[in-house]
Amino acid sequence: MDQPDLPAIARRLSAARSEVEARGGTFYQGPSRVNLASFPPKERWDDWVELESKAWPERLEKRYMLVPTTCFNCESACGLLAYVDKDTLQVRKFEGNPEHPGSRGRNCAKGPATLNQITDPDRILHPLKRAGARGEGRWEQVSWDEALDDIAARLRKAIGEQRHN
Amino acid sequence: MNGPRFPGVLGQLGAQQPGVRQNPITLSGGGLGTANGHQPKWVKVLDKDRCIGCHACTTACKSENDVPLEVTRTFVKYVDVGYWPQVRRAFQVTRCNQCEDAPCVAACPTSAMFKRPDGIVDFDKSICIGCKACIAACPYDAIFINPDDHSAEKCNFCAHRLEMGLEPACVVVCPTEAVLVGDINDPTSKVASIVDRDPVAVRRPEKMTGPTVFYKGATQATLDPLAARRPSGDTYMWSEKHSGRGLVNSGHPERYNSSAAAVVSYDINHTAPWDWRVSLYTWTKGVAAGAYLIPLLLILVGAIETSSQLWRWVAPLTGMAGLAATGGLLIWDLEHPQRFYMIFTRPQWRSWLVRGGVIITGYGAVLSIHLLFSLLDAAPTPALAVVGAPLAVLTAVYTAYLFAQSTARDLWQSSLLAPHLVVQPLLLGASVALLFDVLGDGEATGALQLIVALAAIVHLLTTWGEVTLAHHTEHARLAAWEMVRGSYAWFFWVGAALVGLGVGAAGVGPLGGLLAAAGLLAYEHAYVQAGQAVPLA
Repeated sequence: MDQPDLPAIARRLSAARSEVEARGGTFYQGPSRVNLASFPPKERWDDWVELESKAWPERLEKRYMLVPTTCFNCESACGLLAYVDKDTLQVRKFEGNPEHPGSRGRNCAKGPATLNQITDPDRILHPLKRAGARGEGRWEQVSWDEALDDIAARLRKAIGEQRHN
Repeated sequence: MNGPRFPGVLGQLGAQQPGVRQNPITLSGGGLGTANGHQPKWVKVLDKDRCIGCHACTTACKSENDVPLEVTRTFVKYVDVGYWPQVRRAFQVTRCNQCEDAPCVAACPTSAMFKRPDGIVDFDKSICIGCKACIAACPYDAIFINPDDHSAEKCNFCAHRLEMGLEPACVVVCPTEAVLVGDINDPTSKVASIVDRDPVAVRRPEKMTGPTVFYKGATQATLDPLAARRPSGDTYMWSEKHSGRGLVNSGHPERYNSSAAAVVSYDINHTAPWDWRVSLYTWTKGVAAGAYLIPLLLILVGAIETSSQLWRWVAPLTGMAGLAATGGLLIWDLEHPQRFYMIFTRPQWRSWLVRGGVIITGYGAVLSIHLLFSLLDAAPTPALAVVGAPLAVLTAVYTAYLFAQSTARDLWQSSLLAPHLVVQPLLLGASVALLFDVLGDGEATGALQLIVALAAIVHLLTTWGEVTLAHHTEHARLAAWEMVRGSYAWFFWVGAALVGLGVGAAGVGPLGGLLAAAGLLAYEHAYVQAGQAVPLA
């Protein structure tokens, strides 16, 4: 197995890293081990300017805030960054979160595809509480306060009764 | 390292020329900058030893570039090789190969597809006329028309991200680091060390396009689109096959090009770029060219006078009607018909669409002058034919070069195509002239009947040659199979039968010509569509 020239890569990366760090940013090294970062420096996530791919080759700048969140498509719960458009407050895309201790910026196909679910017409928009018997499929809309209070009370009761499972 | 890259040990002789500094763009408050001291040349390595076929690259690309449903800039093809339990699923990340000599760039009439100095084949949607010549040219089926904005697009290595100092979206998301980007001009880069020292492959090297996307550890069962069998039935191993007009399914439909047990298990929708309008255009264009050439031929052999109705009126009027229909069909076929003028305002001269547009325009001008003579009650001088005849022949023949520029379509690379496209207008022109001749004074009926019969026989012989002469690739053979026995057999055999009947009926009047002309249209459709019916990806 041929090994890349590691010292040269290290020199180049450290050059790119110091360039970013000189501007007060964290340099996230990508898998290609080149002077390209895999993610914007976290110091600039609040106000990140990016070129819009749809307008290419016109260099159209878009302002985003990058909001860390979690992928909800399986129990691995990998980290995601939501790119929230500062003008419209719409989520433009999801990328991985390099600061997430589990996924460290990587995702499977489901991560970026989370974009489909946040605008899915069938998505659940409010907390729903079961209204009839289990499996009956009847639900009523409740407030977040009501949902959290109800669940917290049940948890507290279970803990009080030593029901740890 | 600066300057050009030399192969092998000559590399150490490479002069230390100062490279062009690629300055990082200045974004207001953004951008990461690059520490490159030289002009990069971006390449990608797709490491098939690492790929797990998870499609993360597909969805990351879709969200980064806002690619609609049904189309993809990159996708993962699956091929299952072997028999259970000795079986393995092979994955191929499939996308634009950023060719050194990109057929799409040569075919694009407006430079909407263009090669950047850093090696990326990029595109500008604002000047795309939607002619689909790039799609017809691409041997990798990597270009598609975006259904939202009707312009051609493909992978461009996330050029906007590279300019910001970020890796492309597919590289960042990949959980196994199977997608790498880097600068091949930098011998210390990870991609250069893999490309220079590990066994890597490119797709379709026989097309001489110089792909700069390298596959490490890829199996021939995925690299060669015809190496795996197309499963029968309406699904691949686990996904739906697509059916419908113009849809092309992956895998070889019959005797596949591998001795291993290989079967396509997942693929996306592929479509043929050019529909019946292009088939019909080759026919209307033939009418336009033949309508002028046939009366001219009759004058040259002394069968008619320059004062003949055929020369004075039928030639220019039928020719112009044929050209009008041709232009109408071509513009109708564009995804951006209102941008057709860009062929003339920003021509890319390597494109045969541009060259053909100029030829057709010139031919139209000659026909207009010809008509003007007739309107002024003067017999159009045959001297005009010194310009007109070559333009008419070029109008007929340039399509052979246009089709040959469709690098992806092996059936159309036939050297019989150009002579075939000269014969067809003679048949069509004689058929039209015969009709008017019989309706008129019948001065040249005998000569025209003879031309119809001869041209029809030559057409049938050329078609015989197209089908039976050795095909230089399996792709071409399969396309011919699709034409003669596959999806377009009906058009092909009806076309052949009608032309055959035309030969027999030529002796009894204009019916023979009309039958042969109709048969030619059916043949054109079979030929144009079968050429696009072979899977490429």
